[in-house]
Amino acid sequence: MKGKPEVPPRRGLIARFRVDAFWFRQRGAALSFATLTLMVALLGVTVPGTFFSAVNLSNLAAQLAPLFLVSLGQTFVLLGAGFDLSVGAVISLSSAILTLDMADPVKIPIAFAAAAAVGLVNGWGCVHLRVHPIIMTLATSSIVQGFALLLLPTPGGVAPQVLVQMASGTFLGLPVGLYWIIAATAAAIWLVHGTTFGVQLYATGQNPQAAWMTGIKAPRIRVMAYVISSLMAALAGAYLTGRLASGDPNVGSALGLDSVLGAVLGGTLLSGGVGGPIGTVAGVLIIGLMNNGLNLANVSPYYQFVVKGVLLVTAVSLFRRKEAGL
Amino acid sequence: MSAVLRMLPPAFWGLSLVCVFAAFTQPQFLSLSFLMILLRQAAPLGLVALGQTFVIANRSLDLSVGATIALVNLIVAHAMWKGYPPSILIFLALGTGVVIGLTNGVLVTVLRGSAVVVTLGTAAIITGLGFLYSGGAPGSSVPEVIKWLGRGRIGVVPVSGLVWLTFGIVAWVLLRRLALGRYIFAAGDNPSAATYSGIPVNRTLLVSHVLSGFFAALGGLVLTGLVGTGALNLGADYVLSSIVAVILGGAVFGGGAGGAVGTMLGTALLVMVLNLLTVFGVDEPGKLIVQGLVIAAAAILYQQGRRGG
Repeated sequence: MKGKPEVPPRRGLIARFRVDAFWFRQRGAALSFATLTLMVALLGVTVPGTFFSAVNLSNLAAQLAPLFLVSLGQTFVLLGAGFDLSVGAVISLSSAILTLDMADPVKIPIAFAAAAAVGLVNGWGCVHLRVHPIIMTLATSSIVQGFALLLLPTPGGVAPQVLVQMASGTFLGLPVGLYWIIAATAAAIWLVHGTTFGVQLYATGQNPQAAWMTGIKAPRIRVMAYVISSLMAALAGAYLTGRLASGDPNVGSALGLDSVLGAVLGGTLLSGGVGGPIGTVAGVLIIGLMNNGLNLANVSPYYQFVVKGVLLVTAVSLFRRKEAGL
Repeated sequence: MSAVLRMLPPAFWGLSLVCVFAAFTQPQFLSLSFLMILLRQAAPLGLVALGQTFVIANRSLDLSVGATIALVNLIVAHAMWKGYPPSILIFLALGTGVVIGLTNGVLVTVLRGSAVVVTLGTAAIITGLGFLYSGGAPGSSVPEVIKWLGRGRIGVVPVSGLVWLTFGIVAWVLLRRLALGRYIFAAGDNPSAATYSGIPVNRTLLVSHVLSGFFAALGGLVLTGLVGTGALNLGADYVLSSIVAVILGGAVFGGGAGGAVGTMLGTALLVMVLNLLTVFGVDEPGKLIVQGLVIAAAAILYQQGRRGG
């Protein structure tokens, strides 16, 4: 063992140690929130009238809701040291199923059941068959995208009326997208920081073997993370289908990798066990504000690619890891 | 004997199966002229996948190959270079690939960013820079030499196929006959063990990324020659296809039985299967499903064999 021998914490210090461990895992989130504050201040100075207008903010909420949902789902998988490339395809599949020619009470459960099944297959392949998560979810993403195109070859179909009502307009004066965001964020934060599952997820992500030896059913926790991610993706698909009032078999393709960006910009590490949904909130808002701000400031969309890339590379370089590679 | 059999990549069995299947159902599929067409079609992907082999065997990943191909296309087809000798263009294109690979490598090894996020970031930057350079318009014509590289034939054999085979041999030598290859597989299999045994793990990873950038640029050149004009978003689907070819070739993150030969067989299998499906009238959704099933089957079978052996 290298370094100083560790002194076991005294009883009275345990509480503080817990707090410190929490902050250690959330150090990225703190940085993301600082960046976010800086961006809001910058936008407030440069384009105050347009940025803080009610129209812009409600547009922002409506646009960002799907990214919020998938990114929060992706955060669970990343915390469990996994990786889910298939969320984009799951969004597309749920959009395709939700616009099938079937009764609403039949097709809505089918869409979520299909997503859960994809999550189970992902988890089973990554955890029990030990296929690398990138390979496994790449394979399922191809299969799921194929099924989405099979069910709905071209954009169209009719969305369930319930979803259309739930995903468009305002409720109590606020855009409905905001309620989706708040509900999903609250649920994710509760699951990660308020339940035993959350504690076990962090332990599993940091060291599956050690977690197993302390009696945590690590494989089951990891599979559950994949299922949650798929279900959140299906929810994002439901929101998008309702908002567009029709289906699109390619609606999720761009969101697959963006979901990883949201989580990573929020300080969640791909190596597992560090970060969390609080940071993801900041990460997704950073992506949204960056696109929104550059649009409002009339910057060429070509620069947006560059800025996004630089942001990503900077974010990922801030925390030095021990190992290089994936 | 069984050890030899186990060393064979999944693509070998897949390719044999597909060939037998094609011989019974679509004999004209195996005619020399059609195979040469397939070879020409497979060469650009094959080159990109060869580069991807280095990084994947080194337990890393390069998601910026698609953006590199697009940038190479923009550079080669840009009107600005009209009148310059093509050799300068080729040099410039390959140099771009090396610079991109070097950037990825430095970010991954020095700043220790996750390769997935780093190469995704550089891909976004390259795409943006390409758009800024071209103003969002595709380039015009391509020099004749580069067209010959992509479309030309020597006898019946396509030039692009020869380029692929040549660089396949180069990659094989690098991976299986030089110390570099030993380093790559060792560092990929167990980075800490490799560090303790004195292998320059960081430098090896850097070289892998540079090679991947170079091969992606080379694939971009050949693909540009095949297409013959400037095109926007060329090579976007090569990112995932190149990874698929490497996986079919038996390489997994962290060593494995893969290598240059495996990747070439994997590319051939992927292109054969997709073309065979076209012959049978299977369209896009069916192809996606079959492709996914093939990846999953190859990865699962390989992983099971590894655990048992």
